[in-house]
Amino acid sequence: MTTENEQIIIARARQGEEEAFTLLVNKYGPRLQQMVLAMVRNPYDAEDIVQEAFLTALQRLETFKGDSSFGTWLYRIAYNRTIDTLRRQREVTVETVYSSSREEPSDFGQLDSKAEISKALEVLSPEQLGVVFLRHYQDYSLREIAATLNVPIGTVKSRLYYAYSRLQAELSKIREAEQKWSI
Amino acid sequence: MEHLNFTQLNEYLDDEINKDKLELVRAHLFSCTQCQQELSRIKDLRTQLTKEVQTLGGDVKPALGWEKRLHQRYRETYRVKPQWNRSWGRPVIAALVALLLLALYLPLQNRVPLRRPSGPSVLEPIENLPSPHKELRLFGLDQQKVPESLETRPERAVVYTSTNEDELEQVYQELQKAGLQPVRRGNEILVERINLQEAERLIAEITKK
Repeated sequence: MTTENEQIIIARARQGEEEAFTLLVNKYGPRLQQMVLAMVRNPYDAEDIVQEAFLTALQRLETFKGDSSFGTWLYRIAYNRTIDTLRRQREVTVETVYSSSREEPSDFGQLDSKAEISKALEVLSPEQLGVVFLRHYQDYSLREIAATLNVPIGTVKSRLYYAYSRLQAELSKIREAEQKWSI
Repeated sequence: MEHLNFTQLNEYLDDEINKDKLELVRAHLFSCTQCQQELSRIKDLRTQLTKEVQTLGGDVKPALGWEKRLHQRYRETYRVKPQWNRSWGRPVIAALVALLLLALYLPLQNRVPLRRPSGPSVLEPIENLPSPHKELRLFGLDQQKVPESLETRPERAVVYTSTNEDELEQVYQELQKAGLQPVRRGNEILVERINLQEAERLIAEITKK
């Protein structure tokens, strides 16, 4: 789907042609759904976010003045909705969104790599978490993240590097605790 | 040169160091074990993140039917044109219009007299008569082929048809003279319970006259 073709498809989708909408959903839907789901950890919240992202992206396309693709616009909306949802989730419970997936230490008190990361991500703010996901899940470059979030690249670096710093510190703590546990 | 800070090390990994500083940074990294170790830790963290973040959503499945509901919302938001109005919609509409015209045309056809073939004969059955009678129509003289089933039970026949009133009247009178009881129906002359061969013979005679 070239950019030109995509513009035609978007125009058709906005005129109510469901076939065109289906093409957009097929292209962006599954990946977006998976990323949002990985962040909010709740299938119903993820579904709401993806629905809102697609419909808002089409309805408010005029307000998107970037040179980037529809995908950028879609991910920007999804990102903002996801951040809102994460904030709400964290207000509701002291336990963070990753608690449900926290894996118990194994027989020797060791968390596997996935569990370590999952636990460490709990310390990040929603904004930092979002940037980490765009970088490492979506494999976006710093510039692509900046375009998606409509922020200067310096802001992206700042959020991302701070997230790395916090993750590194948190992983150190987790590993120290594991070592104590295993002794 | 002082040690590289966390941001500089990350910028180095992201190719975000200014060109004029890049050589200095490289030179420092080449010679500084501490910065090398820190760089290695950051790399490891990034590698681990890329590997693990991909699978984080794997244990939570999307709500079943999310795409269906997304399409439903789309339909509610946009007054979606029916599917048939797109790829194959036009041929379908054309076919419907043709059927409509045909439906309007057929009753009109029934109201006006059917055009009768002129010249050589056509013998055709009327299958849908409400009465138990069979009816034969002889639209002329030279019957080329008479279906066998009709020959065996010719209980009723239209023996002559014409749009020429004088001709019809002449045939009518000839049939009466022959002792038959012809009946006029529009531009047809009917003779009931007539033997097919007899009808053919009569018409042949009349036509000769």
